Amino acid sequence: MAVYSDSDREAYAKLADFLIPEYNGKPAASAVNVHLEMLDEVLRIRPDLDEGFRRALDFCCGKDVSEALNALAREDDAAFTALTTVTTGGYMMTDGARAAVGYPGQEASPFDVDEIPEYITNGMLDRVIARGPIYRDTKHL
Amino acid sequence: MAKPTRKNEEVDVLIVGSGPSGAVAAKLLTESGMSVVTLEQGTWFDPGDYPGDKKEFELAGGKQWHPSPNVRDNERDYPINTSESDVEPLMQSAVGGSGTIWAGHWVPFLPSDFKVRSLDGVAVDWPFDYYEILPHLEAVEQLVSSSGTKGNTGYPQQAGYPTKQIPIGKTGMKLAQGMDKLGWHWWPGLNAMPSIPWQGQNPCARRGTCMFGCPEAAKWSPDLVLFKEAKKYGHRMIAGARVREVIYDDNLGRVTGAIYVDMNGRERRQMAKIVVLCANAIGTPRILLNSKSRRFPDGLANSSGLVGKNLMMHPFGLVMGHFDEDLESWKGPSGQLINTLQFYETDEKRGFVRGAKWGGMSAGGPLSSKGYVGSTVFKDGGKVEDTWGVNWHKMIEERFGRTALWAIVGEDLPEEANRVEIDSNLVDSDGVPAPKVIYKTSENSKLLLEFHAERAKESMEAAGAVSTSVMPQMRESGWHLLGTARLGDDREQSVLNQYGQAHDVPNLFVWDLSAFPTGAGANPTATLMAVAHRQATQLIKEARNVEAA
Ligand SMILES: Cc1cc2nc3c(=O)[nH]c(=O)nc-3n(C[C@H](O)[C@H](O)[C@H](O)COP(=O)(O)OP(=O)(O)OC[C@H]3O[C@@H](n4cnc5c(N)ncnc54)[C@H](O)[C@@H]3O)c2cc1C
Ligand code: SF4
Repeated sequence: MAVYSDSDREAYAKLADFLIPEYNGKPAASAVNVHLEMLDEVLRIRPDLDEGFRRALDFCCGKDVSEALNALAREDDAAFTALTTVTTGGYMMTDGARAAVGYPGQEASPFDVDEIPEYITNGMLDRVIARGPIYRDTKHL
Repeated sequence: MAKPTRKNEEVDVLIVGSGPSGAVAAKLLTESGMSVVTLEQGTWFDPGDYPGDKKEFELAGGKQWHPSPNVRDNERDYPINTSESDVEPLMQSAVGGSGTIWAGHWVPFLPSDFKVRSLDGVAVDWPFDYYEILPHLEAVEQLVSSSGTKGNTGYPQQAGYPTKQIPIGKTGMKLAQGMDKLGWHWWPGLNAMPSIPWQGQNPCARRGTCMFGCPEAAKWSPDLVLFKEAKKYGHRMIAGARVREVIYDDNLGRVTGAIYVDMNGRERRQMAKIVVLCANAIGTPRILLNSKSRRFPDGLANSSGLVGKNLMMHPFGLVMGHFDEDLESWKGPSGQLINTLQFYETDEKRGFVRGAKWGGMSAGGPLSSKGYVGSTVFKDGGKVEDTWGVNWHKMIEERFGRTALWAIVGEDLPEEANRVEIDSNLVDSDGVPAPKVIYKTSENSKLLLEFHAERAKESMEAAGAVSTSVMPQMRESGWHLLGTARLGDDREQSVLNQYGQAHDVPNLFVWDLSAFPTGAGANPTATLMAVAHRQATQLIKEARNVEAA
């Protein structure tokens, strides 16, 4: 895995905040450290993204962020995809971003198997049954 | 109980592939007293390794847990040349096969699926019908610990399911309300996962990550259940064993076993009186085409020339409805919440034949939202700012947790030009020649998907969706692979007889989806397991008559 210097991370933070800025109570990407430990974590999980991500950083280096990202998206889709995947992937793994969008994660949601579902009590399923079978039978063939 | 087999000893039955079809075969044959070995190129997965209960699950789903072997590129996978295919075949190489990462949608084929020639004048009829399969279906519905609601009006009456319905959640209810308004058929989702602890499986906890493996050990998977049972009766699983070819003895006119490469790269032989291939509709023709002999220079059991031909992959479309309310649409099961067979049967006025089943599902975690707005839909003339920055946040606010979807699984008709061949250059990590898939989506499939996407959109609107997104066809949608060694009565027109026994070789069988002469418009595994159950039952019945090597 490539080693990212402090200046690489600073440059990436600018790109990341352009993609995911602070908005309506949601943190900007750099506020939840997508450029720091989250970058390392994402690339640990997905080392295959490293190459494209590095290309994206090099491509955008020293350029106006909007111009650079638009050019990258047109010219090197794989690098642009790596950059956005690293950014959204890192962002959405943080507690801060998850809390802000109201996402508890793929948690277990136990249920009461004996609870009568609403579609039974309100007659919705009965209406399906009342319309009768809809398959074509083949007993005659 | 059969006596435990020693290495390389001749066994009664050798099974190649340990997915749902191989698992049914192993359980039934071993329990009947036969000595059985299964060779599986993949290894055992531990439910603790599945990423579904970890924060990284969607990222890992983009690579290590991706359903395409070409993306995963694991040493245990074989590569597939798909440069001439409209659709990317999806599967898993593991003990349990693709059953480790399947979604558990349990959708038996309908009566009409077995008689498409008689009813609609297309493709071929099966040599048996729905009613012959029904008792086998009811038996495997017990084996997979299914959960559901009896009485679906889309089917003839049947026995019911061992465990009660898993809740359909807010998302399922939303979808059902749309169908209710339109007076269209819908039914609570039937799934191969129990709602209560059952046969060693835990109840589904609605994590919604079935297609990354079930971390709860709830979703039915062959490695969790049937192979453990078969082991009690002396079944032997050899994992990490990649079959290079089935051995055919020209003098005997029979197969005598298989040559495989073990985890250490050593070539070994497993001898057997009967060989049953369950390596799926790409893996099985690959093995047959790689198995050449004096009698079969073009591949084993291929006198019809049909081995590898007639590959079917269900045309697949997605229609999403985005709602104002919070539907908690990351919650599972995923698993089908509800489904519909409203437009399943042929209606000639639509301009195409056959139909599709729709499965109602939640849209998944936050990165899935990239699937409908994100980097890959950067259009000509568009700007990064259209989908990123504040607009990305707005998209998440409007869609994440608020999106229901219909997954449309349509019928693909068999065409000889759609096929599996052996690639002239590509090999797997053991140097075994790898397959090439040549597949074009038919005009019928395109028309079918357009029609169904329009109807699904209408149902979302009826349910009150604020907006909808339609993906009429996805490339990475080859979940269901069928047809490449079809069964039938006419040996010129099929590779196998009605029991999945090769017309050309009496002790060679194929019990995976390669054998299906048509593919229906429904997820195939319920019918696959029911048909494998029928074939194994017949083999046991006839065991003494089968000419053994
Ligand atoms: C992501 C995903 C989701 C799905 N969801 C559903 C669903 O909800 N409902 C449904 O009905 N179906 C679903 N399917 C399809 C379902 O998984 C398949 O229909 C089913 O697994 C086919 O079973 P099988 O035993 O024929 O083959 P497989 O499960 O594909 O197993 C074949 C096995 O053979 C092994 N093998 C292949 N070649 C060799 C060789 N040369 N040597 C040794 N071993 C070999 C493979 O490693 C594999 O383990 C899904 C599939 C995928 C990929
Ligand atoms: S939804 Fe149920 S079956 Fe699917 S992964 Fe979660 S717990 Fe397992």
